[in-house]
Amino acid sequence: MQSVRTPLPKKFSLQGALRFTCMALVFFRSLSFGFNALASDIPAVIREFAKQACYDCHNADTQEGDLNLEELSFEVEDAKAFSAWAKVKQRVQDGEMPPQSEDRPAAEITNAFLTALDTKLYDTDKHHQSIEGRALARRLNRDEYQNTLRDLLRVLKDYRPGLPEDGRSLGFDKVGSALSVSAEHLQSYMLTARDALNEVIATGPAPDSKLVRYQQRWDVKHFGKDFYSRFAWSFGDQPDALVRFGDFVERIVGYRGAPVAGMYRFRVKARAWGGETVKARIKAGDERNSNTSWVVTYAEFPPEGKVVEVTTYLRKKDTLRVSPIGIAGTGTQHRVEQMLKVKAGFDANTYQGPGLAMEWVEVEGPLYESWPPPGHQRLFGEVNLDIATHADAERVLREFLPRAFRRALTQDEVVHYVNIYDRAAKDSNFLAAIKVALQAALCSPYFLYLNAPPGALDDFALASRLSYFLWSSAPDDELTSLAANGQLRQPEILREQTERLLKDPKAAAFNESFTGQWLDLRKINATTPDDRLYPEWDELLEWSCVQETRSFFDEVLLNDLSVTNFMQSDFAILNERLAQHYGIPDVKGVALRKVKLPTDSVRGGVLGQASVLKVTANGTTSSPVLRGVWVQEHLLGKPVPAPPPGVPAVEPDIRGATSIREQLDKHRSDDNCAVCHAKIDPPGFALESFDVIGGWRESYRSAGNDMQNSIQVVRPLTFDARTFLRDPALRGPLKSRVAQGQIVDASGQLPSGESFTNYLEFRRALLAEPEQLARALTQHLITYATGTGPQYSDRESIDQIVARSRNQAYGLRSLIHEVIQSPIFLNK
Amino acid sequence: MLHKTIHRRALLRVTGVSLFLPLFESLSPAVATENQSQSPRRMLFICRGLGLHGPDFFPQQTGRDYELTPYLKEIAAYRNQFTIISGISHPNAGSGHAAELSWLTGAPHAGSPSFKNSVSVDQLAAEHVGSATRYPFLSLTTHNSGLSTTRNGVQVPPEKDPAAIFRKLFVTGTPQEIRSQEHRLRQGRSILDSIRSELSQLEGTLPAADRQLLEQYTTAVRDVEQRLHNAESWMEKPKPRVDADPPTEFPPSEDIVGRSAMLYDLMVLALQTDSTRLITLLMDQAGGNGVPPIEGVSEGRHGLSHHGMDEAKLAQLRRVEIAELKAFAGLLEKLKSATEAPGQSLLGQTMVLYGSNMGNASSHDTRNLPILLAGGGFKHGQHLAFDRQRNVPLSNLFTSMLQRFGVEVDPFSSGAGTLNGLEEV
Repeated sequence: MQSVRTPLPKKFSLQGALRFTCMALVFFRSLSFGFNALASDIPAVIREFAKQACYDCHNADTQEGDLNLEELSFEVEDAKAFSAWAKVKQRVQDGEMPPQSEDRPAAEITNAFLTALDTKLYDTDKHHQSIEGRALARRLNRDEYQNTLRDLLRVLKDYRPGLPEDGRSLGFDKVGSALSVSAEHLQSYMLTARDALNEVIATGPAPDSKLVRYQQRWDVKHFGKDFYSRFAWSFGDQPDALVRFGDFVERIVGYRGAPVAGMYRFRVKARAWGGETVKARIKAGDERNSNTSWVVTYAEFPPEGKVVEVTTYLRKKDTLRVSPIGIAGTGTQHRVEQMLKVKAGFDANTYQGPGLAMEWVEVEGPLYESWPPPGHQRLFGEVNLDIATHADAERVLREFLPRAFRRALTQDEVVHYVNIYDRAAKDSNFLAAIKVALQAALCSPYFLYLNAPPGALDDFALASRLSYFLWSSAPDDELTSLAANGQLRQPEILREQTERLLKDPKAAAFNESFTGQWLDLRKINATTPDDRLYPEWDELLEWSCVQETRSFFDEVLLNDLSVTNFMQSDFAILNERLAQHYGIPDVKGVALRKVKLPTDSVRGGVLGQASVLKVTANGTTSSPVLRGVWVQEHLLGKPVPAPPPGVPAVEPDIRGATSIREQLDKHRSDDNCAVCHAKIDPPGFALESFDVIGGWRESYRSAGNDMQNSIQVVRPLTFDARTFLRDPALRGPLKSRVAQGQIVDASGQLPSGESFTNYLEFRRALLAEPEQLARALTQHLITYATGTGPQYSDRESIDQIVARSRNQAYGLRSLIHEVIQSPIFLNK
Repeated sequence: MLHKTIHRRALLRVTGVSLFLPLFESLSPAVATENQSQSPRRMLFICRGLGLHGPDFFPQQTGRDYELTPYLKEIAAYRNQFTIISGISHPNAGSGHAAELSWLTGAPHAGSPSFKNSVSVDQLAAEHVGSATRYPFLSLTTHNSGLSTTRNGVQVPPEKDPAAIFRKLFVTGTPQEIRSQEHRLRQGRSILDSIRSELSQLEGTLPAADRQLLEQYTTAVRDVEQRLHNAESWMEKPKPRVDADPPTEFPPSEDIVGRSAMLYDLMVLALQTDSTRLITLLMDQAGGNGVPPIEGVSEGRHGLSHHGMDEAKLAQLRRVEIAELKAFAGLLEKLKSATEAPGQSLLGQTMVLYGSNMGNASSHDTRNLPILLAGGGFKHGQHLAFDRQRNVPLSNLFTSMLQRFGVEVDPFSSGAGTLNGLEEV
């Protein structure tokens, strides 16, 4: 997911001020021009401090760090001046400025300065919030739009691929300033609305739904004669099954794909071939095109056989694709060559290496609850489309519009849409005309935007904020009727509804979206690990590590466990593949389950999870700087300013000549760099013990060819077919050797002065401050829930949320309740 | 403008009122600004999904004085109008057939379960063309899959039915079709009107910061309206009519040569009439299992591509590929003999990229792709050879092409710059 470069936030944002330091610094220059007169308007206590402590370096001539404080405007009603002064305050408050090497003003002068500046900034922001409201209006993001259509119309198709990608700000695709609208958006909204209405409106008779069992055998007619001769090695024909040895042509013999779009149930009866349980990938979608098919799940089949049932939406012609994985090598090339080399005497029908013997597949569908389907009935009720009239149109719109706009409508607003129908009905039939009106409603700013006037949210807006927070979708009938009765604002009812929403399956959207962005899980495949350095990385591990972190979040949320579990937990959620990766014994199978961890395991907590460790590295190397910044921003809630322009990145040397630490030490000896790197580097150093795929490492892996110093890497998923064909007794997974580089040094010193020698000590030190974790998570939740980052004057509310959460042992579920009950959430 | 600058051969003539109403989907983005005194640049992208046998294609020598290889002999007549490029590929293309999905995009790891495609060269260029042509682009296929993908990495559904393509380009819609298209445009306007009136109501009630956000929406409404307007003006313009007979039957699946030749003819007509300036064609693998109707060939196209250096198979493969190159020579001939302006051939204005997503189809290797660039205002006649161990990115060539096309572009996709050694005329 690409994040867009956002402009300086228009709102007065503390986080924004920090994050955009660099830009702010540049702005100092432009702001300072011609502001001499204004500079004298600065209150004496502030000017006095600045004169003593700042002007020596930050004057018109020197402008260190591009800051000319002498001439910086104090008109903090201006967003740029505000964020500049907020930054000044933060640096002084944190003791970073003036530098330790300089004379510092007496404590009372500093305190007076901080108080005066803080009061000014606080009052300005408070005033601004009272006039404009805290949060910006924003449009629905792509997921929310999809889910809203799904719930409003009961459509099943995924319309997201047709919509432009969303921008992100402060880490989330929920922030108004980054959710722009262009002609591309509008055009895709118009088309999608039309397509979705066509999907839901049933004009024909009920499609024929049937159940057919397809016996899986070799069928020349089905595969084509030429194909068989070519890829015989890939299939074995048995009296009761077709044995697959790869993922070539993942078709179900006899099945020609979904006759119409809809829900289908597949029951796959298969058994492991060649002895041990075999893992399989189950995809749905276009048979030929991996770009338009998607992984539904991974499953496993024992030698005695098993039926796996999958119910999924299919577009017309889509099919289910079932293939064993890890059978022989990874790439197609590897597989083909490997098998063809031994082609002489090789017979797929008698080959006893691992494969998937597919016996039969039952397909049932399209499945539908009723005909016309529920979405159609909800839209039209008892209206007979063939003889419907103006009055029917009005009735349909009166029902539909409040659901679409998530609030009650005025008579005029309904008439507006009835008029659209009337105009269209002049030269169209009822159905065509009502579709125009419905399409217009689905492109309306009232449908596409979440918006409310400044002040307390009304009940409808509160219902929307709650449901878009926890479901990424529109309020359902229960929420809406509570809002209509004016009850939702009652704290107890709001709490009950929060619980109800969290327990609903639709809350999976919160998990996906929040962990996907807070922990960057959506970036899991942004890079592909170098297969010479990390041959053991495979598709099952990639899939599993994301499931791990999502399930972990669910576990913490479900049981109201302390947010400190994100740093350290005594359990992990694992399957066999993850357990192999982490060196934890006795976990079998593809399904994930809760596993108690040994004392001092490095795996409890998200920083020991392969997903997070992978998204914070680039596939080849990990940088302590990038990981350090990630930990600061994502877990500790301390955004780090971007490096000054023109500073080259420090890059690990994969030939292993110099260590990254040596390079960074050089870097940190420069005072200007040290200020930030003293904070950034320590978490990054501690995480050096984890490689780019989350494996534990004592030494770095090296791209060099020096096999004198190398390790054997087992690829647990991948069967070594070549060796097996030579000697069936040597049955086992593929192994490779990878050269070793320098020894890892994971020690460091925290800004507090506390030293650590390894990851565990680092983690212990962070756990000493649980409040910091809770506060950071609160800030992320506020950004996510309200679409606007923490503001300068939010701090009392945030303090209160954190304080109350402390009383509940920082439980995640309690924290979410506190956020929802806070003035930040209840007001625009 | 359209009919003045194009000197079509005798078979083309413009007739009276004929209407074709573009589908709403094909409404093009911003109006391109164009220097009207020059004939426009065009681009054709032709991908052979089943590869092209390298030893019979790549010359041994580099530079201008290379010796023609068996395949290049088929197009020897145009030697000074094309360049052979070797040692070029997409980094991390992924393996095998799936890489055809990323041939024009350069997105890495096609075929991996988590593959995400990106925008294709032609689609990026289409944004630049805007509404200057009736269709911003055509995406064609001989079988199923196409080459063009949107900015979201979604494949544009390709067209393959020659009769339907001919109708789309040159045949006036039935009155009913026209009515329904007009209808659709009217409905589009009605929806935009509704949004506009709601936006203006909203505006009065919002605080300043929120108003700024809704202004974006107002701008979007205005832009889409402009697009509707463009669509309407194309509706009013007569479609060019050609005297060529509409194509009838599409040859059977295994006759990939016959199919591509038929599509080549349509591509030339589309360019000549300036109906579009961008066409992609994927000769995909789907037709690969049937035996092509070529003398001396008894195996399917796909099977032959996995020759494993078996001489008998290679001999058959050569027959098939030479037949395909003969068809390609036919395309070059038509482009060369069509004159745009006095002394200016259509080929001179049209960049023709011909090649494959596989360097060695036998082993599904996606490095060292066979790539040929013809026409389009470059200095040709040479074999540009790059390192076969460390290939240059194919996206460098795309960057050169985009720039020649007039698109100001940073390196496209995985490209690092333009292609060294490829000079503009």
